Amino acid sequence: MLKYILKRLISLLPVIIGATLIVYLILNMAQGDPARIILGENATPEAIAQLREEMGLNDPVLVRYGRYMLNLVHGDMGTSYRTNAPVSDEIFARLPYTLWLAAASIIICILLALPLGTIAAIKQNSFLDGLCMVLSLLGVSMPSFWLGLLLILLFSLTLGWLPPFGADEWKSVILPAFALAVSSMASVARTTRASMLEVIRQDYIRTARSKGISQGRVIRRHALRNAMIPTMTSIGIQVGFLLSGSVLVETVFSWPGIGRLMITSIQQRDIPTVLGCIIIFAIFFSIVNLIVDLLYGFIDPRMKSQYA
Amino acid sequence: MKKRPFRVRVSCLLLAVGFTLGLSACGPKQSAGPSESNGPTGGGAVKDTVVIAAGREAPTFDTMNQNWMMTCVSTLLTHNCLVRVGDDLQPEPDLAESYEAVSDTEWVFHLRQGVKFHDGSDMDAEDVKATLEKAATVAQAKQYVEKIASVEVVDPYTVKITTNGPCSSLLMDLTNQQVSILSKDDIDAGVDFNTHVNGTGPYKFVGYTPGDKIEYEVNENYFNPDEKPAIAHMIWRIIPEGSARTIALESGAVDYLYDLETVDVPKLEANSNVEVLRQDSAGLVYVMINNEKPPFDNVMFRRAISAAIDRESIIKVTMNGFANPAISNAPAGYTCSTNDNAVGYDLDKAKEYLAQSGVDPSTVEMPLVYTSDADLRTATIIQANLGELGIKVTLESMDNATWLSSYASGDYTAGIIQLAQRTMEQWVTTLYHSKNIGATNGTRLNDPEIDALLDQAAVTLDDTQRQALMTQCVARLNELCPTIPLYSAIYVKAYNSGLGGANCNATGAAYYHWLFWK
Repeated sequence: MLKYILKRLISLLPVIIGATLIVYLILNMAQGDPARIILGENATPEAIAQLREEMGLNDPVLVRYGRYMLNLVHGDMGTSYRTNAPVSDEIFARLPYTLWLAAASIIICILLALPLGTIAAIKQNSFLDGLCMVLSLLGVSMPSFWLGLLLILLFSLTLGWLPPFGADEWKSVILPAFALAVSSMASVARTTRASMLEVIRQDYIRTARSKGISQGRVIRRHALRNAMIPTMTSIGIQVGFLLSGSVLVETVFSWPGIGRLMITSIQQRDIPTVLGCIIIFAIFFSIVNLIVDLLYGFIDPRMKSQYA
Repeated sequence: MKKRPFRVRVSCLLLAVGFTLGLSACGPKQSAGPSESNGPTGGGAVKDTVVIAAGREAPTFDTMNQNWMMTCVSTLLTHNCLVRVGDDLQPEPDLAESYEAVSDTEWVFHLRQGVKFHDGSDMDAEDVKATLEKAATVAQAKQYVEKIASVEVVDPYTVKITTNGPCSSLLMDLTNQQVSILSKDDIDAGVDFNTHVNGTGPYKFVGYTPGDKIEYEVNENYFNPDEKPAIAHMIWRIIPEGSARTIALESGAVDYLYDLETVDVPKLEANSNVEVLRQDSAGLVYVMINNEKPPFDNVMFRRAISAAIDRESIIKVTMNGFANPAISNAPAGYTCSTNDNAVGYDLDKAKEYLAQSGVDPSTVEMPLVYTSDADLRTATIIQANLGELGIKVTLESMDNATWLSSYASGDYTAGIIQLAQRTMEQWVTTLYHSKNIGATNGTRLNDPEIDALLDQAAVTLDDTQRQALMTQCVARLNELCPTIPLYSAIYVKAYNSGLGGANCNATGAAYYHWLFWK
């Protein structure tokens, strides 16, 4: 298994190279001069020329990319055009908050989606089935931005239970995590429902019931685990979407994560910071996919042979 | 597959609708305001802290290597310049307690004595010389010192600045935060000014959590006892979303809003626990037009466009009434501004100018660039207004970075811009002097009379004469109509009614160290 994990981690390298090269080329092709943006509307041609020289922007694109990758190998993610601070400092100051929010969101998503999907499957075509599916669809239909503001109005302003913004205390993560989780819930719930429906129709489930085992035990011990493979895949995909969806939630709740940093950096053509964020996202995605693949083996021992 | 019973589907739908409506109905009670249980300082703290909410953060705390508004706001708290901007937008003493022009090209500044940096070291003339000489090497700061030929230390508290010829803008140039006085020892040591914030200002920098907050504490050794902060601690919270900032003030989580959505102002004004401050701005929102592109190179055609635009409607829709209509090509907030020759909304006049221009409007297509939602609303009204003249306007969205490059290179026809400058001279020279074509003169106006007036004003040290020249210049600009002025925004601030000392000048700058708890 160690060999398998190492192989997967090594396969990260072409992913990072490919992603950074594409993003680098696109950002350089896009209109917008980082030096002019930094200097603002009053920028004189001489000041722009001086700053471009200082920032190394006059070198050919591929030369700059090569220099960037060489520095990256030595652990240097470059200097932000916008702040003149090391990109690694900018990113790693915010990364814990992004991970915290993502973890809390996925936990809430799982806690809501699994029961909803399971109940919907067991009570197929009943009122509960419809209710569960409508609730999950509501979640995906409501813009996280709008939901976030409503949650602040209710829980912060009206009830005063939870803080409206920031990341000062553990309670601060509840509202943004919920706003983010609600939109992921639909996909996971529907996948769980479909997967459970397939499993509970199997002969061994009928056998278990005919042996007098209670419905709850049948679901927990026999059905749920076998239905988890597609659900795990769906959860893994949602973790990736959490990163992209977090920008709006970070804005509404003033959550100091990487999402907002990336958007600001794109708008201001802060290419080193954008690349740094891309690298972190690529690593994050790959590790999540690896964990999901390893969990397949845990859930279904027959799949462990792929690690041999 | 068995079809779900109809009553089940209807029940689910009704439940879902009820849930949505219930959630939407949750809103603040009418009497909600900064909560008594939270206290005026937000969060139950005693009155030695003020929490200010802002939509953007300061990307850096380096006073010189930057051109960011929020960094300038932070620098006003932690540093001082030789001179600063007064309420009348004129320079007044700051670290220099007095100054005089001893000749057309020489200024002597007499520094305050006993001023200390936050690290306890004394501020003297060597620090001023080192700061100004360093600024000349930094791209973001050199424009404010480029007219300085030399800086001489006469004695520890006297500095003589010699300029390259008569320079009427020197004092205002020295009010910019990029030339805030730094310690010579720090400059010589090559410290990272982003993390080593060592100024002479009323507040000391304490810490920064990226994307979250900036903290300051009072400088007990501040040199001006009349302006030493009354509040020991200041926290700036970064809350990007406007509605969330308003909610934060209403809930008492913050005490002051640096910026707010104008749509929230009536609600805040109705709140007895909140006060709202309004200040007419010296900024301007306008349509910049590429004067080199036919038929926009035709003066009468531009005047026709200006006369066709209903500014009151734009203000109502875009700014919720929080702006003043503008018809002059330079902001009304300056004493030398004038509306002479300016064109206001008059559809009959517009048709008259159009006829005089000789341009057939049906042959004109005007792509109009916008970079924000507010500008989109403005652009939509302009599109409708010009449609009445028969001019087809197409709306084009651009992000700010692309727009900056486009108008500098002249690769555009028209776009909406918002700008503010410290002085009328800076405004007019930046936007309309022909030497700035390809840089800041986006209209690409090339008028010898304008250039001559601006060049003469730049070397006229007498205030009255210089203002007369600028008034003449603005009148000429109004006649040429190189841009279409729309409105000047009204700056609005909202804060806990327990706070006093709130202020804001016409450039939007404010001295937050003047705040106190009543």
